[in-house]
Amino acid sequence: MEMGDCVEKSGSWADRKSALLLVGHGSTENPASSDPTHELAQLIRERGIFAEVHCAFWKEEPNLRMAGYGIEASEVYVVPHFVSEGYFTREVIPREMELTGPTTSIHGKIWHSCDPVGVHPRLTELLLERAREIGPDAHPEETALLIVGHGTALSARSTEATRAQVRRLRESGAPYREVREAYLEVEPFVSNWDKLCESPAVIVLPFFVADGLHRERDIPNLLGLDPERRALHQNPFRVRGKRLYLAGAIGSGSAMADIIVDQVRNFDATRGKDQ
Amino acid sequence: MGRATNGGWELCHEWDYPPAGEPLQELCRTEDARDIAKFTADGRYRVLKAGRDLRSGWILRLPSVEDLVRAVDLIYPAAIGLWLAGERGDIRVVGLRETLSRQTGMYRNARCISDVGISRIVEGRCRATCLRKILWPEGKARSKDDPDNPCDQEITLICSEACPLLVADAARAAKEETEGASRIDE
Repeated sequence: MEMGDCVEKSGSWADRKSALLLVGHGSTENPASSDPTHELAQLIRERGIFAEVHCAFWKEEPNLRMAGYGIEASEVYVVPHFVSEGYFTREVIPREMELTGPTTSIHGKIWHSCDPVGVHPRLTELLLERAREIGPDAHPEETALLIVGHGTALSARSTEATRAQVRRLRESGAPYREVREAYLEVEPFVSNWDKLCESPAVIVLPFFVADGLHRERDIPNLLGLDPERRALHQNPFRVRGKRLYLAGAIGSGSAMADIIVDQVRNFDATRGKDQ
Repeated sequence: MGRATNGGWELCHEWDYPPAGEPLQELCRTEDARDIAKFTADGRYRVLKAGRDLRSGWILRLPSVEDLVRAVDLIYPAAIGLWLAGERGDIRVVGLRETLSRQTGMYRNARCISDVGISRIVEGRCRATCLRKILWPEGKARSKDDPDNPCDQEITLICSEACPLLVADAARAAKEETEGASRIDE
């Protein structure tokens, strides 16, 4: 049975008039930052398996404090559209939304705090698909995969999800010579990518849900990409004596929508609710 | 907003009603509302969705009232829900000092802003640019010329709590106040 089939046949969340709330970061500078979250919400809305599907953001509207006013349902599944369990998922979202545990009853609604998309095992497959798409001419035996996360000194756990993905990629049997991790704000820094990876070719996979400023500006700067050349998105690049491929963020296709729905199912399964 | 002749619904900017003069951009998907709200007429990104700079020149034709409500929600997020909560007497108003005191990380210092600083940022961010009616106490100090409602609205756009934009303004202002005080001490 394919992931998603069980939920769509039972239709129980729609029957219970439950809502899905996707929580993203958003941006005050990049208007495209929230697009993947909105696109995913629309994809899932069209499946008709929830009575309502909404979005809320840290840096855009509706923000986390106002989101509840836009939801009619009395039961809401909250799925963070984040790749990691870090500062935002463990501190900011619970604080702003007044979520005190796996299930919180507050302001006339029942809120279920689901795991973020980034910890789902299917992401490993998505990353490998992205690597094959972006570097079809890269021979795996001479190529490193470099997974780039944000990392932050505000949370000791901010690197856990990236590290876990690196581990899963290594265990997946994918034929790449190396799989490494790097970060924007903590060690190992992505700016040292050429020293972190021994291979002559490196495929950089940003571990972000959206192509925001980190993917469009910060990562290319830190990799040492020529600003004019990289604007043309011409992979591969020749940088520091290596062949470099830079992929986009994880994205918002149906596979990611399946992951979101699966996080809701997993919540119910681990909390013993009937479906 | 109003009923269309074919039984559907129409939504447009108040400047474009009743229709006259220049033809309007005809749109028919609910998701078009998000694009309408995202940029100003001159292409600048609109982070503040209740800003006074919503572009005109469009008409959104939708088949159902559910689509209409969603479209309004995309242009003014959570506005209908907040308005209905207000009608029920069910709005949770949170004072600015309370909002600032719970901030962490890069916004932690926002709590240090002075009362004078608060007045400045509320004037500069809220009163100058936002259509929402402020319910929280620190935003209610006003001059004798301020209207009770910022504009004549059928559905009042409500601000029950300071938004992240104002929190960011407070953090910046608090930092400037601290740096200004340090320079004086030197």
